[in-house]
Amino acid sequence: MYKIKVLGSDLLQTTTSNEPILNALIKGRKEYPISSGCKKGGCGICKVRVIDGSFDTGNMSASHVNNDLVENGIVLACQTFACSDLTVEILPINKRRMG
Amino acid sequence: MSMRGVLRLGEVQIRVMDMEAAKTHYGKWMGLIEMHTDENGLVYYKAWDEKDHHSVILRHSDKPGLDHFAFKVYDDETLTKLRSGIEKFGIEVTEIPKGDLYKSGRRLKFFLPTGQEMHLYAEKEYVGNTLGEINPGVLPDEGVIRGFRINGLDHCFIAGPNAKESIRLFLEVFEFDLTEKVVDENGEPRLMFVSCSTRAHDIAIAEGPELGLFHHASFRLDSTQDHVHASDLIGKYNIPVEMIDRHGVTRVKTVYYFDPSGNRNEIFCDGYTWYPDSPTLTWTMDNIEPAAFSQARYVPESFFVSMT
Ligand code: FES
Ligand SMILES: [Fe+2]
Repeated sequence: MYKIKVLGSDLLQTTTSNEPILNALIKGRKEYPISSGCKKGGCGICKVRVIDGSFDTGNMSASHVNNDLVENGIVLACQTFACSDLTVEILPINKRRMG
Repeated sequence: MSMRGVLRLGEVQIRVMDMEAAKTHYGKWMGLIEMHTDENGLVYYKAWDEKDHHSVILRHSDKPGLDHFAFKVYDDETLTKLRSGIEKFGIEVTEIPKGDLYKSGRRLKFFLPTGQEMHLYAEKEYVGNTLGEINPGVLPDEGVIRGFRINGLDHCFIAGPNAKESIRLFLEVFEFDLTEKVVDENGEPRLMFVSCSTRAHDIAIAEGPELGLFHHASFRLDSTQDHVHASDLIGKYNIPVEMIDRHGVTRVKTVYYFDPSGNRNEIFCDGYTWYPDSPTLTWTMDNIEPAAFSQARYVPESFFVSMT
């Protein structure tokens, strides 16, 4: 079990290394603006910055992140797995809105 | 039947980040029939009741999305006629020679004002639906209809800047009809649905902030029973679902779900029959909930934002 602290919120979420951190983060969606869409690393709307802690990632679209960004902790939460306690900043939702 | 111009959406080429996962999704779960893998690793599929060699192509990439989509036209003469129409419209056309694309006749290739690569073709190798053409019967052998029991690729939904210009090409050059539109508070169309057949749409185009956005590819099912069956499989395989509902626009019973790379798919049944003398239906953005999803009267945030 790892703890996830969300910047600007007092809520602490818990996660395991087996599930994407999006699952834990989404529990606090009333408190901070996390979004979830495809859950497969394709659409980019779950983008966060991991400020502290280590993590693994799965497949993420090159339209939204690249190695440099990942090294700076910018990841898609639906494809990110905690390897330690984490501190996370929720990034503003990507503005690719249609309509 | 007077449909002798552009016939139908005949092909989508979709980028995937994990080919094995994609093959499980499109082949094993959705039940599309794998037809071929070429020397570049592209994988070709058809739905059981489609007669041409393939309708879905998967290509491995570091980002998901739509490489191109292609409409089939009635014959080669139509292709020649449409080429001059597209050029007069002001869009540059290049020709892909016969055989350059697998099992395909010559194609026109061009880019829509919304940024997507579109093709038109008149020929693709005929393979049939296993029933034959003489006393075909109605039901193929066990195992041909499988998975989600998809009959065929139906339509796609794309987005980008200049959606009205892309739609104008479909209306003025390809002779589609505007069946439905969603307008903003100034009466400006933001989502537009056009048909070249008796279906409520063969493609939909929305105004969007970036070129070449892919909202979804949609597959046709026979019946409500098949729709429930497919939804049960979606649950069984833990495929991420966005919405199971009915569309106000086009009146189809829908499920939106995502492939393993985050491309949105749709399966649907029902909908009304469109004729060229039907009036265009208009929905207003302030009424978007039942326009999009008429049962829940709720639109998930991702529906307008998640695109590949
Ligand atoms: S929800 Fe689409 S990338 Fe995470
Ligand atoms: Fe659709």
